[in-house]
Amino acid sequence: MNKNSKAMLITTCVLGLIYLLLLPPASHGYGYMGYYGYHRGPSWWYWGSPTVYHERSVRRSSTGGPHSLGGGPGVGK
Amino acid sequence: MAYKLSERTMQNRSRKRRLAMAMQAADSVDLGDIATIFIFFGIIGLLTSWLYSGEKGQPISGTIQPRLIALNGSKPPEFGPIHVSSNNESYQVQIVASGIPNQSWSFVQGEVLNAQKQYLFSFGDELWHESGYDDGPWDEQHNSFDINVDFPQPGSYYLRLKFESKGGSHPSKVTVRIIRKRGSYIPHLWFGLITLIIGIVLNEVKNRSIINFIERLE
Repeated sequence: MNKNSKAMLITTCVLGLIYLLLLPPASHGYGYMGYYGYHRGPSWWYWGSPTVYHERSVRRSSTGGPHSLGGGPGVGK
Repeated sequence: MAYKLSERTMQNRSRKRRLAMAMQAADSVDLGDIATIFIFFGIIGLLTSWLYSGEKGQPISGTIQPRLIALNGSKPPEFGPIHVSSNNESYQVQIVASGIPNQSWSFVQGEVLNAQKQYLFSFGDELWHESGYDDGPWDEQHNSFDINVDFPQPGSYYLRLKFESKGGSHPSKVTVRIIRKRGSYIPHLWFGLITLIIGIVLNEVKNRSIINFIERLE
């Protein structure tokens, strides 16, 4: 086997292996919001995601009682 | 003493040189061949990414009228249940608003809740509609967004929508679609893009295909 055939075989094996290794995370929703749990945001590989708020803000002492608040521009405590 | 080489000796030397060059070429790596493998895996990666971004099953969809909800003082609308039957199921939430009043914005927020309607996380984006007159009249709007969500555990989940708008001028209609996805397109998209770029660069080093094509155009 000459150098070129060896290089082609090694390249094919390495790229094929990476391709196969990526299949399980791809079928399990890798990078999306929730993949790492709800306390973390989506992966930085995921471009174009809207803003995600994983923390909960609670108005325990307000007259309206406790309820979750998101992160809109007007949201405050 | 100087002497002139015979023609036969010259031919022998030339033949030997050609043979040596051929042997050297046979024992070196051809970048063109390696480029072809990279480009092949690049295309396969992008196709796989496209397959993973495909839909699965029936989407949950609905339309709400945020202005009416605000006028009536109704509770924030909820969609679901989203039945997740196995670990790490992927979904896409699409939100499309129509009738956003001119020169105003509306922040649309989606809260993801578990089966007990407890808050897990939320997401949101500002939708807007602007118009004006510069060199001529213009009218622009950003009226939709989507997010891909992965549910790590099986169960039932809900989506609650909340609106916050400039002066309370909510969009007249908002359509929500929750679509089950085959998986994540991200790993193979990046794998495909990176291998494709490497393949193109290697091919340019070896064959200069794109450079030659551009030169021919000029």
